[in-house]
Amino acid sequence: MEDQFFEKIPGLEKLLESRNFEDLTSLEKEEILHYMSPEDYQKYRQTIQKSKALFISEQKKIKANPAIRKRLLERWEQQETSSKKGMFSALWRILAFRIPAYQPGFAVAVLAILFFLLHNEKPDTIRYLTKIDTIYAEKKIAQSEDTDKIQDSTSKPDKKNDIKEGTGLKEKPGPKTDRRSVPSQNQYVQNAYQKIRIVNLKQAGRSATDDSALMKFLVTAN
Amino acid sequence: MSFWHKNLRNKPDVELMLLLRKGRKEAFSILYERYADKLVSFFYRMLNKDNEKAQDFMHDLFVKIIENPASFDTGKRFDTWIFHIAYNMCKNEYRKMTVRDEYRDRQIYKLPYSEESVKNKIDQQKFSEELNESLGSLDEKHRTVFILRYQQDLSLKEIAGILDCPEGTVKSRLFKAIKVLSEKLIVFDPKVN
Repeated sequence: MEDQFFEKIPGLEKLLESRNFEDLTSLEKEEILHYMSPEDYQKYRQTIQKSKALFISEQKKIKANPAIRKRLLERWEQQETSSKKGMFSALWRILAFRIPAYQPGFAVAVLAILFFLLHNEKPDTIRYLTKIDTIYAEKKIAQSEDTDKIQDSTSKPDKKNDIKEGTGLKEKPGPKTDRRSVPSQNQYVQNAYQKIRIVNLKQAGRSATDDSALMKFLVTAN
Repeated sequence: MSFWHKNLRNKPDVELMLLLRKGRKEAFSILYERYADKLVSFFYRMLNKDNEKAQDFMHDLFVKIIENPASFDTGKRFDTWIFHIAYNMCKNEYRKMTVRDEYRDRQIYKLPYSEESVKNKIDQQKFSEELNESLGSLDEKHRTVFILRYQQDLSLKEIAGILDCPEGTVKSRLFKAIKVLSEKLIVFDPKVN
């Protein structure tokens, strides 16, 4: 079919747009001449060129109306607000608010500087809410006379202080010990209790002897 | 203009559409700048050189985009999609009116004064009138292919995507249009004159 010649010549539309018949290669000329005359080729080429020139000059004159752009942007705003209805519309507008990129970076830098400045402050002095009084208990360690002596090999053995092998050290007999003069461990603790001021119990009108040992641990700060 | 606005100008159309779906007003603004004039000139040629109607159609097309941005398939080209919508709008308009008859009756839009000689100006004006009349006599499919190829400078593959037909069909229609127009515009051939 005559109308199907363009299928036989690949890229014919590009040839018509770019080159006159005289500028074609011999191979291209030979191929085109199978389907059309040089005049036809030039006729088609002229139509395309003039049409393109006319369209280009038209496009310079025919422009979009600027008022349409404004109307469309208003329509956009309406569309956006209507899609975010109810109580979330105000919140969405706040979240959708755009700020330049340098502002968040600047804010982060300021916060970092403030953090380091505050972090390097001297720590507050230690404050004690309560003062615990130290309980001192007197303790007398009973000393044995035998531990002080160092037995001399040249000295004559003291018969009184004979040390028999396997029998251990023999205590020097001394005056009969009185339990009162050398208090026991429990007595030391009890003496400490007596030194502690039991203000609360006195204020309550009660004596220390009326309460148990646990109550006697109550201590007031000096 | 903020830092973000400057970056968007270099984005491709598909990315701008994705941003538009997320509610980015700047993306819509940039797409409008890129395609508004092209669409107006397309509608101008397709709708009997009616400038006012061309502006209305362009406005309506962008309203469709605002109302339903999800209708765009991100796997396809944006320019193919937008001209497909424009073509369908023109087809619907053709059904409503007899455009071919109005093509002959309507007053031709006169180009403003240029620096060319008077003779060239008259030739160009006459050619424009004849071309309009000849395009009007074409079938809408042939006219659309011719305008998309030589006014919008789209490839045959892109035109095939817009019209949703094979590339061979587009080629056939294009050469048919060239042939018919050449026969009707033969008076402007310098060799014939």
